[in-house]
Amino acid sequence: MTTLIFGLLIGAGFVYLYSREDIKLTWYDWILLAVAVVFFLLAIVNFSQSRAELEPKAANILLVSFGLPGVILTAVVAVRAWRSREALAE
Amino acid sequence: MPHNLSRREFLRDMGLFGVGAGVASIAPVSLFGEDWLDKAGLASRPPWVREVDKPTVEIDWDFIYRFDERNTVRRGWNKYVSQEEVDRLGAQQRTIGNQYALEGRPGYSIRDLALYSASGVGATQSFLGPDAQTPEDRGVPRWEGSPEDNAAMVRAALRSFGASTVGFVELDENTEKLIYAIDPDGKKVEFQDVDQPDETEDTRVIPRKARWVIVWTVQMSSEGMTRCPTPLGAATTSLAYARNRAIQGRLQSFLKGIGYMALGEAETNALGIAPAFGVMAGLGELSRLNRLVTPEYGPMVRVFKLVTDLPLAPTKPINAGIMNFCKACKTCAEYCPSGSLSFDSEPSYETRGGWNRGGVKTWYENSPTCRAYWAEVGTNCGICFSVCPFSVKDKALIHKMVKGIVGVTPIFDGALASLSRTTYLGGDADKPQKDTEEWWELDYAELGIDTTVGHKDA
Repeated sequence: MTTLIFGLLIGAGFVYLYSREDIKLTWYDWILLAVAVVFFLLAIVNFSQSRAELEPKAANILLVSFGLPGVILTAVVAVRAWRSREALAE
Repeated sequence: MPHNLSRREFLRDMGLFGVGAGVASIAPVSLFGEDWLDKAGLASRPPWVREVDKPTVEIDWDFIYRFDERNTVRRGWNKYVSQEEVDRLGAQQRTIGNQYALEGRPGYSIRDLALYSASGVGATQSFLGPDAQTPEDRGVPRWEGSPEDNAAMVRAALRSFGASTVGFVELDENTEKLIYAIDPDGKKVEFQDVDQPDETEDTRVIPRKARWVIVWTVQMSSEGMTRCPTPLGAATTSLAYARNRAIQGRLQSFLKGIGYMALGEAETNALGIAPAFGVMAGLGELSRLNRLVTPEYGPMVRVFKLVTDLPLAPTKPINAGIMNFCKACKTCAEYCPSGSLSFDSEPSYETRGGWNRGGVKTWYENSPTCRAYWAEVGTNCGICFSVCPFSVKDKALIHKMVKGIVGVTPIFDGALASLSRTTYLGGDADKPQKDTEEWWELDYAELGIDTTVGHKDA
C-alpha cells in the first residue's frame, strides 16, 4: 500500500511538472529528476528499514548517503528549471 | 500560468500511470521467470546465490581423513596446553562471571548470568533418538517417495520443528570422511554392513545403507549476539543448541515414524564436522571464521546434521561470493580480542596446530588462544560472529543490494567491507557492539529472530 501511495504521488508530481507550460525541461533534466527520485526512495526505505533493524547509526548514515545525491540532483534541475522559466518569461 | 488538465487528460494520464504501475508490480516475476519460482518452492534464494558443482573452498579429498573430535579444543584442550592450565582456565571461565557481577561490570548482572544458565535448559539428545510409533506399530506400510519428494517432505518437517535452512548430502567415499572417526565422548563411529544401527559402550554403528545426511541450520538472534562477549551473547548460542536438541529429537521421531532410521548427534558437535556438511549441502560457504556463513543469516546460525537411510535428493554447494568477500574483509580478525583469526588475504592449506585436520584451503584459527579468551570473559565469546558484515538483519533493502553486488563481482568487496564497518560497528573490539542493559527493554521477537527471512511462504 505504501508503495502504491508513493507511486501515485511521484506519478502525479511528474504529470504536474510536465503539464506546466511555464517550465520547460530538457530530456536529460527528466533523467536527472528520475535518478533523484530513486535516490530519495532509497534514502527513505533504507532509513525506515534500518530503524526497524534497531540500527539508528546505520539509518542516519544511509539517509545522508542516499538523500544527499538526491538533493543535489534536484537542486541542479530546479536551478535549470528556474532559468528556463526566466528565459520563457523574457 | 500552470496548464490546467482537462478531465479527459487527467483520466488519460492516470490510466497510463496505472498501466505502468501494474506492469512494474508484476515485472519481477516475469523477469526472474518460472525457474526462480520453481526453485523457491524448495529453497527460496535470490538469483545471485548460484549453485555450483564444487564448493568455493578448495578441498584436497586425498588428504582428508575421518577426524577424532577429541583433537579439537572442545575435548582435547589438554593436548595443546598443560592439564593444570586447562583446569585453571576452566575454573576461571565458570566463576569469573560471578566476580564481574560483584564488580558491577556491564552485561554481567545476576539477571544476565541467570539468563545464560537458563538458555541451555531443554531436551536431551542421543545417537539413536527417542522411541516413536513406527509404521509396523500402526500396521501400515512405511512411507515411499522419490528422493526429491522426500527432500521436500523433510524440509517441511524440519521447518515446522524450528530449523531455518535445510540441505542434503549423499555419503560417498569423500563425504563419508566428514563423519567423525571418534565422537566427543570417545565412542568410535563405524560404518558397518548391518541392517540396523546400534550403540554399544564404545561404538556407534551406522549401517552402510544409511547414505544420506540431513543438514540444517538453526537461526540465532543477531540482536543477542551483538552483546557478545557478555553472557547475553552466550545465552543466544546456548539457546540455539538447546532448541536444536528438541529439533533433532523431533526429526528422529518423525523419520522413525515413517519407517526410516535417524542417527543424530549424541551430544553437541558430535557425529560429523558441521561447517563441512553445511558447505557441501549448499547452506553457505566457508569463511575467515573457518565457520559457515550463509546468504540468509550470515554466520548467525548453528549447523546440525543427521544420517538416515531415507533416499534424499542432494543439494549442491553454492557460490554467493561470501568466501571471496572474506579475502578482502578482515573485520572478524581485526575485532578478535585474542588475535586467533588469520589476517592472510588468501586461504591456505597450512594448519595452525593439531586441532585443525587440514586438507582444506581455508583460514585456520588458533583455537587454544581463542579458548583461553573464553576464560577471560566467562563465556564462549562470539565477537567474530557479531561483527561479520553478513550478520546484518535482512530487513533493509541495502543488504539485498550489497549481497547482490558481492554475489556477482568481488571488485567492490574491500570498499563494501570498509563501509560496513563504518556503518554498523563502533567502540572497542573486546566490548559488546550494543548496550547490554538496553537488551532487557527491547520488544523482542520470539527467540529474538525473524523467522520470515529466507522463506517464500513465511
